[in-house]
Amino acid sequence: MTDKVPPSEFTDNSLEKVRELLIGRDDKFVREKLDHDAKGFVSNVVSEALLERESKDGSVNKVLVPLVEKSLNRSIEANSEKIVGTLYPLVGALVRKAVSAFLVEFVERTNALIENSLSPKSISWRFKAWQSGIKYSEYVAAQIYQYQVQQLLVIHRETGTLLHSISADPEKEKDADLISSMLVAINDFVADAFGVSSNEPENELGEIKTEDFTLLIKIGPQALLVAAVTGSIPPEVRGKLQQALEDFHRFYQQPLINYEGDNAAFDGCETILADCLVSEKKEGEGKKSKRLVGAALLLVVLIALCTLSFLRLSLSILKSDLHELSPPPGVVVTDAYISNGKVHAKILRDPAADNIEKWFSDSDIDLSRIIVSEEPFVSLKPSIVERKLEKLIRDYPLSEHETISLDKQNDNKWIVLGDVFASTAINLTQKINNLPGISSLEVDTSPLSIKAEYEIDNAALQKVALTRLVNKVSSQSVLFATNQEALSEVQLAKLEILANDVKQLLSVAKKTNTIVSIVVMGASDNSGSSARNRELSQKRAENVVNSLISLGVESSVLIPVSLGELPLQNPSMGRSVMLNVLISSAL
Amino acid sequence: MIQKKVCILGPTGVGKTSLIKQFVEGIFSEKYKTTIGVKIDKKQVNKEGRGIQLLIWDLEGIDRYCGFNPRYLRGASAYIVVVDQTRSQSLTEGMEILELAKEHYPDIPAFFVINKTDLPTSWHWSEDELDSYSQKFALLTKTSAKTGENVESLFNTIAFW
Repeated sequence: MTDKVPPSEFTDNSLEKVRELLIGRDDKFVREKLDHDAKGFVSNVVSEALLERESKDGSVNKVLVPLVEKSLNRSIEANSEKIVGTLYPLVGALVRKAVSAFLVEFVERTNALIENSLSPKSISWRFKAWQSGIKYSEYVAAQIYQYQVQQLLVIHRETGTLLHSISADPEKEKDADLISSMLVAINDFVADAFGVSSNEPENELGEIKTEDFTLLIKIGPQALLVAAVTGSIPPEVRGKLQQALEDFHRFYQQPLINYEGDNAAFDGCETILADCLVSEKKEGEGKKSKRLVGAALLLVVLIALCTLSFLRLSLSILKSDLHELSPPPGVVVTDAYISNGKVHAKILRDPAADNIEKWFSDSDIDLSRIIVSEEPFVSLKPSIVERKLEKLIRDYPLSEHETISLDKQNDNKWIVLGDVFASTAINLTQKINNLPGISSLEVDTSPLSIKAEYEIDNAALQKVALTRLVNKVSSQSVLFATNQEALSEVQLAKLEILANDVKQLLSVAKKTNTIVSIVVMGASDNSGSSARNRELSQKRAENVVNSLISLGVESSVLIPVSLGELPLQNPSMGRSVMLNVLISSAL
Repeated sequence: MIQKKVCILGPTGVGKTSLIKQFVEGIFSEKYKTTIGVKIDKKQVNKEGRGIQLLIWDLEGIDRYCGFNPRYLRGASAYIVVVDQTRSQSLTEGMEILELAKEHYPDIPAFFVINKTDLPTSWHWSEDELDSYSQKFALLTKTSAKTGENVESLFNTIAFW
C-alpha cells in the first residue's frame, strides 16, 4: 500500500466517494437524519437556547416581539367578536376587582369623613353600629339603602328581542318584550345622537333614572341585562347584575351567537337571574308601631298648637278690641299687650271718669282676661270738667243757711245760684277757678246772693246784734235845711243805709221774736211860727217814713211823730228827724 | 316562541303607520316616533300550530333631508320598504332607502310594498319598470292600509319567510 501511492486525483475522488457513501452527497444522510429528529433535537434545547441567546445579546425579543404583535393584531382583526366574547368574563372579573378596590378605598375615605361628622343621628347610629359589632360606614349604608329590584330583562343586543324576564310582580310582566325592544331602540338612538365618530367606542346607556325609579342597563357582548329598580341602589346590586350578566354569557355563549329568535334555549336562565331580584325593605312592624306613636305625638302636638293658636288668636282679637274701643271721657288706653295668656292694659284714668269695670262690662269685655294697670291723670275734657264742677257744687260744705245749686244754660254756660256767706262765695269761686280745664267752660257765680256775715243763729249773739242795731238806728238823725221839709241828696243816701239797717234790725227782731216799733220824730228849730214848725216837723217825719217805705222797710213799724219846735241852743240841731226804736218781746 | 324583528321603512306619508295600525297591538304612543325616530309594536302570527311573534319597528318617514338611523335595522329578520302608488317620487325615494339599507345590511331580506291600492294609480311607472325595481327585493306586495287588502298576508309571509 505504501509502494503504490495513488495519484492525487484518485485519492481525492476516493475520499469524496467514501464521504459520499458515509454521509451522502451534500451531507444528505446527515441532513435526512437531522431532519427526521429535528423537532426532538430542537425541543430538547429550544428553551435553553432561547434563554442563552437572549441573555447573550437580547436578540430573541427583538425578533419575537414584532412577530407576536403582528400576529395578535391579525388575529384580533379577524376574530374580534370571538375574542371579545372569550375575554369578556375575564375582563369583567378584572374590572370588578379594580373597581371594588377603588370602592373600598372610597368607602374608607367616606368612612373617615363620616367618622368626623357629628350629629344626633350620627351619634345614635354610631352607638347602634358599635352594638351590632359592624363598621359605622356599613351601618350608615344599611340605613340609607332601601330598594327593590322590580324586574329583570335579558335582551338580545342585536335584535332587541327579549330573551328572558323575571319580575317581583308577575302581573306587570306582560309588555316586557315591547319594552325591551324600545330600550334597545332608545339605546341605538343615544348611540347615534351622541356618538362622536364611528371609530370611537359607542356611547351606550348605562342607566335611565327618574326620581325614584332606575333602569340599570348592563351591557354585554351579546346581551343586555336590564334591572328596573325602585329606591336607592346599593353598589352590591350593581355587582350582582354584572356577575349575572357574565354568568349568562358563559352559560349561553353558543345559543347567543346562534340566536335566531328562539327563546327556548334560555328557559333555564332563571336560576342565574333570581339572585338579582333582591330588595331591602326598611319598614318592619316595629317601625309601623313607632310610626303610629309618632303620628299620635304629631297629632297631639298639632292639637296643642291649634289650641294655643286659638287662644292666642282670641287674645289678639281681645287686644285689638281694646285698641278699637273708644274709651269713656277721662280714660286713655296707653298700651295693650299679651303676656302669660292674658291681655295687659295700661290705662290712664281721671278720678272723675267712669270706672274701668263699668266701661268693660258696658262693652261686653271679659274683665277676667284682662289685667289692668291704672294710673291717675287729669283730663281736660269739657265733660270731665263739668263733672268736677257738679261734684264740687254738690259736695261743697255749707252751713244750714247756705244753699247752692248749678244750672246749665247751654252747652258750655253754667250758673251758680244760691245764698251763701261772702266767705263761702269767695272760697267757692276760688275752687271753681282752680278746677283744671275750667277755662273751657263759662261759669257765672254772680247770681250767688251773699248773706251778711252777722246773720247768725246764736240767740245771745242775735240779741247783741239786736241791741247794736237798735242803738245804731236810734242814734240816727236826718238833717234838714231851714224851713225845708224835702230830703237833700246827701240825706237820701244816708236813708238808704238806714233802711238796710232797719231791715236787718227787723230781720233779727223776727228771729229773736221781738216786736219792733220805730218812732220817727220830726222836729224844727224855733224860728218861725209854732204852727208852721209843727206842720214842718210832721211833714219832715212823714217824708222820712215814706222814703224808708220806698226803700223796702215795712210801713207798719214806722210811726211818724211831730215834735214841733225844739228850744235848742244850737237851732240847726232842731232841724232834723230823729228815730227811736222801741222793742218788746212778743208774747 | 320565536321572535322576529321587522323594520318598516319608506318616505314620509306613504302609509307605514297606517299599515301597522291595521295589524298590530301596541302600548307606546306615536310621540316616540317623532322623538327617537322609531315606535315598536308587536303581533303574533300563527301558522300550522307554530306561533311567531313579530316585533315591528315603525321607523319615522325618511326623505332626502332626513336620513334614518341604520342601527335600527340591526338584527332584523326582514325589512319592508313602503312606497305610495299615487306619488311617483315615493318610488325613487324608496329605492334610495333600499340602497342605503343594503349598504349597511346586505343580508337582510327586503320586502317591497306598494301601498294605497284603494286609490287609482297615478304614477308614471310602467309595470315593466316596477318589475325591474322589484327584482331588488325578495317580494313585491300591493296593499291598502285603508281596506286591509294584503296586509295580513304580507306579515304572515314575512313571519314564515
